[in-house]
Amino acid sequence: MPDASETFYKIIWPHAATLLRVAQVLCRNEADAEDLVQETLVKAYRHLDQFAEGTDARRWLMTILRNTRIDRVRTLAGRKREISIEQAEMDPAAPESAADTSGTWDDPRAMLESLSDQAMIEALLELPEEIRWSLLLVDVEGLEMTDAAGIMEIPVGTVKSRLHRGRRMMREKLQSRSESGGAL
Amino acid sequence: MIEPNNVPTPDATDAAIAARLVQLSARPVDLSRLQKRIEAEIPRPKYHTIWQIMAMRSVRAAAAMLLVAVTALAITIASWSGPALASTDDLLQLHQSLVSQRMGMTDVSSMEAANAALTGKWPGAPAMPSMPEHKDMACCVHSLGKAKAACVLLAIDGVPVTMASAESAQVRMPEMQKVERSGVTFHVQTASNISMVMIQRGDHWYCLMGQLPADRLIQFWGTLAK
Repeated sequence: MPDASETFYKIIWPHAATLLRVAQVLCRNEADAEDLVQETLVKAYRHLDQFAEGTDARRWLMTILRNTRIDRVRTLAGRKREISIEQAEMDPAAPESAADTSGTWDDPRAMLESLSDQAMIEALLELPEEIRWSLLLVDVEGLEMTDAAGIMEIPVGTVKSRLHRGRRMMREKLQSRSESGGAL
Repeated sequence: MIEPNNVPTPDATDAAIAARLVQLSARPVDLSRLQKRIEAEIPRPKYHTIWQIMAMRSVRAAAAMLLVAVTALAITIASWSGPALASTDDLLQLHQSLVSQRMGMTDVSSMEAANAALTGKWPGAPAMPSMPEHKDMACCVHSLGKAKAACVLLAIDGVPVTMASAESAQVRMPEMQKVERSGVTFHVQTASNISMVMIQRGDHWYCLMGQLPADRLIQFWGTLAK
C-alpha cells in the first residue's frame, strides 16, 4: 500500500502549478503566493485520509486553497470571513451595467489577444476577491459552475451573477487602462 | 446588485473576455522554490521495499547474487535505453555559462554564418533556423551531458537569449508544460527567472532561453523560418 508521501507526490503535487497560478492572482506578491500554496499543500498532505481517491483532486485542493486564503486574510485583517464576502458584494467599484466601451471593443477578441498576460492579471487584481475567485475557477481554470459553487459554498446562481459582474468589471478596467495609456 | 436568477446572457465581449482568461491557465510558473520548500517538509518517498521483503524472507545471500545479476542487466539495458535526459537545470547552466563566460564562442553576424561556424566545429550540427536580420551573435558547440548541443547566443529586446539545439536521439527534452499556439506545440518552463521555450522539429529539438516572458520567446519563434 503506498505511503502518504508517495500518494502526495503522485496525486497532489501535479496540481502545484495550477495552485500557484491561482495564488498569484489572489496575492499581490510572489512570496505570499508561494506561502499560501505551501500551506495548502501541507494541509492536503496532513489530511490525505479525507481525500477520496478517484475523485477530483483539483477541486479538493481548490477548496483547501480557498479556506487557507480566507483564514490568512482573516488573521491578517482581524476580520470575519463573512465580512470579506460582504465587502466584495458591496464593493463600490462593481458596476451594475457595462461601461461605455464602444470603440475599443469593436473587435473584442483581437483587442484582448493584443493584451499581455500581465495586463490581464493586473486587471484581475483590481477586482474584489470574491468576483476574482469566480473568474479564476470558471473562466481561467475551466471548472464547472457547480464545482465552483461547491468550492465557494454559494449557490450556482450567485456564481453566474459574479461571473457576469466580473467580466463587465474586467471590461471597464481594461478600458480605463487603455484610455490612460497604461501598458496593455 | 444583479439578481442571481436574472443574469443577462453573456454577449460577444463577455465571451471574448472568458476566452482570453482561459489562456492564463497556460501561463508557465516557476515551481523550483516551492518544490524545495515542500520537499523539506514532505520528503519524497524512498523505496526500500525490496530490501525489507528480502530481509523478512531471510534470503539475503540469494538476493545479493540476484542483485549482481540485476545490476549487470540494468547497466546493459541503460546503455541501450536511448537518449539521456537534458534536465531544466542542465539547460539553465548552459544558458548561464554562455551568457557569463562566452568562452570558446565565435562571433557571427548572421544565422547562416553561425550555421557555417557550427558545422565547422561539429559536422553533424543541427541547422539553426534562419531569422530576420540579426547582428551581434555568437555561436559554439557545447556539451550537454555526453551529447553535444549547437548554441547561438543572440539578443531579443536587448536581453541575451540562447538558442540551443540537439539531436533527440542523443538527448531527450525535459518534461515541460505544453502550450499550443497557432497549431504549434511549445514546451514551456520557467526556472530562476529564465524562461525556456522548446520545440521539436524533425529529429531535433530547439530551445530558446532568456530572462524574457515565455510569450515573448514564443512570439520570436513565429519570426523564424519553418
